[in-house]
This record gives sequence, C-alpha cells and structure tokens, in this order.
Amino acid sequence: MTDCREIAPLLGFFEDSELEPHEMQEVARHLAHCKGCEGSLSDYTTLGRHLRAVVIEPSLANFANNVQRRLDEVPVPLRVRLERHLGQLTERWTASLALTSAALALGAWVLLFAPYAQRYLERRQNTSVVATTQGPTQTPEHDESETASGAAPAEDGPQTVISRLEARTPDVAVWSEPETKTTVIWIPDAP
Amino acid sequence: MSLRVTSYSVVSRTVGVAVLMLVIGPVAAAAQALHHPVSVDIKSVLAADTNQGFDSRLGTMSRPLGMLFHYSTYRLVSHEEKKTECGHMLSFSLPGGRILHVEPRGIDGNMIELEVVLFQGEKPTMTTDFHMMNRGTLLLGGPRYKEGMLIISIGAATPIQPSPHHHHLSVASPRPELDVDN
Repeated sequence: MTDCREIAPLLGFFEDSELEPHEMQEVARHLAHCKGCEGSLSDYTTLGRHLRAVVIEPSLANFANNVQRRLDEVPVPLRVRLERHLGQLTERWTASLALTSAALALGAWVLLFAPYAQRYLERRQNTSVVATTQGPTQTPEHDESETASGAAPAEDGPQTVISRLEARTPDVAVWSEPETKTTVIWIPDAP
Repeated sequence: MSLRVTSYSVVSRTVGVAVLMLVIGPVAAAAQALHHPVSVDIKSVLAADTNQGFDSRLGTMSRPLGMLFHYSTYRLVSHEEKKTECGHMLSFSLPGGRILHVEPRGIDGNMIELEVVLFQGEKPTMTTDFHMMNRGTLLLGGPRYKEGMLIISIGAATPIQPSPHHHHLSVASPRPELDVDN
C-alpha cells in the first residue's frame, strides 16, 4: 500500500495526466480508498479550472505579420544593412553576368557554325541546279569576266562541288568523268 | 530573403556550368583542328600531239588523262606537294611563268574546301572555290605551253578522317620538285 506522503506530490501531475502509466495506475489505486487524497485531487482540479478561466489566451490572428513588423522596427546596424545590400547586388550581378555570357557563347556558336550551314545549303542548291556534263561543255561567253557555278557529281555523290568560278577568258568549260571521278575546268588562254 | 539568395545561387551556378560547356565546346573543337594538316599536291602535265605517249612518272594519273583528253603525249613537267593549314595560302610555281595559289578553307565532312587562283604573271586569270572529296583531284587545263597545253592536277588530302564542321590547321613543308621545265 502506498503512503499518502508519496502520493501527494504526484496529485498535481495526475490531474494534468503527466505521469507515467504505471504511476497513473498507482495513484488511481490509492485514490480509490483514500478520501484525503481524493479531496486534495479535487482541490487541484478546482484550482486548475479557476486558473484556466482566469488566463487570457492571446489572439494569433496576423501573428506572423505583427512579428515581422516588430522586427522591421528594430534598428539594423549600417554595416549589416550594407552587407545585405552588397550580397544581393553580388547575386544579381553574378546571375546577370552568367546570362549575358551564355547569350554571348550562344552567339559565338551560331557565328561559328552558320558558314557551314550556309555552305551545306549552297552545296545542295548547286547539286540540284547545275548541270552535270559528260563531255566538254562551253559556258556562255562574256566580254571580260566570267562567273560560273558548277557541280560534278559522280554516281555515288559529288566528288567535286564548284561554288564559284571566275575567269578573265570568255570561254570556260567544266565537265566531269564519272568513271575516274575527275572534274576538269578548262580555261584556254585569252586570244 | 534566404530563399531568394538560394535561388540566385542555383541559377548562377546552373547558367555558369552551361556557359562553360558552351565556351569549352568551340574552343576544344578549334584546338583539335590545329593538328589536322592538309596536303596539297600539284602536278603540271604537258599535253600535246607529238605521239610520245604517257610519261611513266604520271602513274595512276595516266588513266583519267587518257579518258578525259585525246592528246597523244602526256609528260609530267613538275610535281610539288606542300602541307598547310586551313586559312593558310600556298603558292606553287607552274611552268610558263604561271603561279597557282591554293588555300584550303576548311573541312566539311569528307570534303575539303579550297580556293584556287591561277596567275599569269601578276594578273589572276582564274579564281575558283570548290569542295573536293578527301584525296580527290581536280584538273585545270587550257593554258598554252610549248607545243601543247598545260594540264594542272590539283589534289588535296587530309590524313585524318575529319569530323564535320571543323577547321584544320598545320605547317607548310615543301617537297622537292621532280622536274621543272619552264
């Protein structure tokens, strides 16, 4: 049987259900046959009820904003403000610099590969437009300078693709021999 | 505030890595291109109707000459091979006081892009830009020379199988002429 002196300090915790399960069980067993302790527990219960009635719980509405407002009102040292400002600036500058560099690098890529794309397109154009000749062919005559564009594809694809041909002589011939995959530019001396 | 700073940091780092990759790509490609030489081979052949047949030094070149033209004599007059880089011009002295400028402009897949200018004295008589298959040949003919015509064989080769869209660069290295007969 547990003594009242051992139970008395636990009554307040028992009322608040803060004891370990075996302690709760022991106190409950003691209260079942001890009128004195039961009265003390009743006093604790009454006291707790009165205390809860007296306490005013603060309103939590707009709590975060109020805290932030109070924090903003706290004066920040100039050094800390300066550090924060510089930190933000650094971050923004880094991001801006990185984005600008990315744009420049992309531009460099475009500039680097644009000529190849152009040549590829030109070559496709030339292959489809320019006639393939199997024997000597005279190009149209011009007075001073002649410009011709020609491709000489072999059976399995062009061996030589001429994209520009300028000559001082009026007669220029271009032909290819598919068997030997050889292209010829014939430019006789000017008369 | 810390969320904003963190997102800035993430953006900065991500974009920074992207920039590095974008910059490193072309630089690496250009650096790789520095070690790809282009060899230019120029043969000058006299074609005439003097019934002397083919010069034995012409080798495999005899067949296309015989199929393309109908002369009875083909004689190798000069042969010169030089190595260079894309964007660097080579100058070849040809029989009859002619000069041939050849400049590899770039490598496009298995094609070599060339610019060729033929000079008669100081005057350019012909300028052409063309793409030629690696180890291919273009014949340039027509100028009168001695008792016949001059046929110039322009060959270009790059020893490494090139990848598309790369410029290739190297150093000039002349080869002794076989027979210069101006």
